[in-house]
Amino acid sequence: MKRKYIIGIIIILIFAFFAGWSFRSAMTPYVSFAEAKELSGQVQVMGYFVDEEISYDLTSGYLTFELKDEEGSQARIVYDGVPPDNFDHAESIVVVGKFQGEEFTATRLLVKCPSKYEEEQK
Amino acid sequence: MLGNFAIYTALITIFLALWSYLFKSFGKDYLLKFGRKMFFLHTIALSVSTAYLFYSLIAQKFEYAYVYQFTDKTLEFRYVISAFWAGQEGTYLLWAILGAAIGLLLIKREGADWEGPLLVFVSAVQLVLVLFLVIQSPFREVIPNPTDGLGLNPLLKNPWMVIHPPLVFIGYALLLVPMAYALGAMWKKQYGNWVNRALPWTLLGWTFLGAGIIVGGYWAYRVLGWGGYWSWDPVENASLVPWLFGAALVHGMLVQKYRSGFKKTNIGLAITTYVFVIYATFLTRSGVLADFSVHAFSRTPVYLYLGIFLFLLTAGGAGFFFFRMKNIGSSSRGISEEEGFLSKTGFLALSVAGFSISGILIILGTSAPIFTGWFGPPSSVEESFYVQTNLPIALFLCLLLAGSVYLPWKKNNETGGFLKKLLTPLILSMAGGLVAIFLGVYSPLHLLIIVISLLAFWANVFPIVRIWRAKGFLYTGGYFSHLGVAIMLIGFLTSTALTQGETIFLTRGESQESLGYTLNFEGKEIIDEREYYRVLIDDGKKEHEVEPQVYYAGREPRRMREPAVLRYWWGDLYVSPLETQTDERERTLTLRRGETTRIGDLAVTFTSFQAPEHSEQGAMRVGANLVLSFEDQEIEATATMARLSWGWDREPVLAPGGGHLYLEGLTLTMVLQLFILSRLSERERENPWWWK
Repeated sequence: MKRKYIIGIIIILIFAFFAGWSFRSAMTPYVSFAEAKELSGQVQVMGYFVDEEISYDLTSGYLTFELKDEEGSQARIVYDGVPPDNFDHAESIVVVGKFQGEEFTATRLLVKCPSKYEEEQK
Repeated sequence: MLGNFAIYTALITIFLALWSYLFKSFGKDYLLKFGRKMFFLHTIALSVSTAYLFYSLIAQKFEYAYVYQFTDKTLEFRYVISAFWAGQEGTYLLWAILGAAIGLLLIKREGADWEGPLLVFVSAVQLVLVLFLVIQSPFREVIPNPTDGLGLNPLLKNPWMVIHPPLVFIGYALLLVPMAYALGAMWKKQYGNWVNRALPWTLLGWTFLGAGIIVGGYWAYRVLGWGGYWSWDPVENASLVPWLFGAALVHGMLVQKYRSGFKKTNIGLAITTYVFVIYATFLTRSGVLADFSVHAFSRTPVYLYLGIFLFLLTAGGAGFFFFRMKNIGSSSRGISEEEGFLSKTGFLALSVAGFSISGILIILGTSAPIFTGWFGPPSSVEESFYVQTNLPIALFLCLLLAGSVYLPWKKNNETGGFLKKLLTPLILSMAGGLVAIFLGVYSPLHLLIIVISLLAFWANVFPIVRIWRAKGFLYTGGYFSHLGVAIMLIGFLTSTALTQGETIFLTRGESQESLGYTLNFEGKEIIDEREYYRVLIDDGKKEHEVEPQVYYAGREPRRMREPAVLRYWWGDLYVSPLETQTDERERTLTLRRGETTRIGDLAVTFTSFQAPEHSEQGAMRVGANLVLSFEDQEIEATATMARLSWGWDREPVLAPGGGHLYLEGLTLTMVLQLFILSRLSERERENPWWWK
């Protein structure tokens, strides 16, 4: 009986380590572009559009634009997909992804919904 | 008046009911009759306020804040029901009336010796819910009385949204019963038979909550247009976690019912399940996760009281449990030597562990932004965490539910034969795996999932037939639910692993091939401010006409995409509109008052200024009244803009023939600029500004 418990504990420990590893690798902290270059995992960066030089190629589905973060550093964003709702009216945006070379490859774009800012004021 | 009067009556009566049941439980038996009367009156008062809120919604009494916020004159009668639970006040009222009905049932069915403690806890929760209604009454008056309402969010104008909230709230309300029993059991120091009494209530509540979650997922699939039914969003997780603990509780209760073990575990689980019901409500209504969820949260003054209630419930429940732990411990036991883990008892115990671990992992992931914020930048976790950790647990649970069918309650000479009995289901599942390889599934992980879920399926099919014949249909419930779980797992897998998607660009009049279908964009229609894209789809056998839609909803209009779904028995074709593009670039025009300007076939006349309005947060909203004519249609509309804290809020005008006109600015020389974002018409195609 004792042996069974030891096996059980080992299984639970392995699973706990696995869950911990999975949690760490799935974590996407809010950082700046400078920090994002240091990190290898997925991150979220909030930034403002620099100019209106946003190009979008619908047939191949690539969207590229320049974004400036709150510390003032700038990066080129490449996103494989269609622009999210309210994209064309947003002033700032959150990009989720990581740097590949000099370009930031985004896997998701989050447009901050204006209504959420309203909530904070109350 | 009547509404608020009924709510205050409900508050006073439930307070008196709680008071009399409390003293009754301490031996003052003469208070029982009075308590019952008060609870009965409480139910009547809540029924009156429910009926009155329905009446106000139907009669369009816009002077009430709730009616003003969630309906307007154009609302169809059938969605008045959705409007009832479109806001927080309505859902608290729904929750309270369901709780009252359950309280009455408990009085009627559960016998005098349990009535006291049960009704103390039920009344306490009712008191909290009615307090919320007093703090934020749906019958608050809007002064001056408006003549029309703001209207129901179009996302909620859907038949599934009529039934989704009540299913979830019936579940939430019923899951109070096991906790009330568990607390009552600790109070009375009778840890034995409460489980037999609470089990049917738990099963019912757990089933309703499960059904509510599934209906919610189906609604998301049909209405939200992103192609899925589950996105591990905080709001979704918040309802899944109590369901998982409910599952652990149901299985733990079976151990206690048949083998009288797990007394401590069950009391702990019953409390935990309800704590997570309240935690879920708190997460979704407090706005703490607003930055991390795609759902719209709104914070109301009630959230603070909800937080206090959550704290009291958790601290009180845990405190009482630890205080009584030793006392329960003397009569409780875990898995005995003679049962062993290779038995029904052992498998049930493992399933309790599996469900609980899954629940804990999901709540950790969902709450990640809160606790990572204490150590550094707040981080959310990606979907991969939930999938990676829950998949092994789900497969483990599947193996348990396949094996448990053939195991005896305790280890005996039948135990060895259990693998032999599993042989037929195992062969059938392997055969299914081979079919999957033949159909083109090569990933070892996918094949493993297919075989294990098929094993769970076949292992439960045979007992259903056998037990239905031997004992009758009513004894097959457990097996049927396990069969359902197996089918659901197969569905999850096939829909995630085998989905193919493609983004295509359709030009009007040109047909295009995609994924074996021929699609033809036939044109666009605008009905009730919704853009319907008519697409003809040829699947090789038949032509289908579908109409995916795009529309703007919400107070700061957001684009919504409603998909069209073509159903086949082997899968769905899901057509969701993403973007529309037009030939010409957007243009900024300067209009003078009284002048008519042509933009293609659209004629725009700037007639007058709209008087500035001071509305949201002291911001001034300015506007231009326009007359738009396109072919033989002519409409009058107002484009407005306001400077809000987050930037400019522009309310566009939808032009006849398609396209939106945004007010870009008003200058001192009374010049109006119009900004056309993406004007879509059948004849001309325009590019938005980011298309170069």
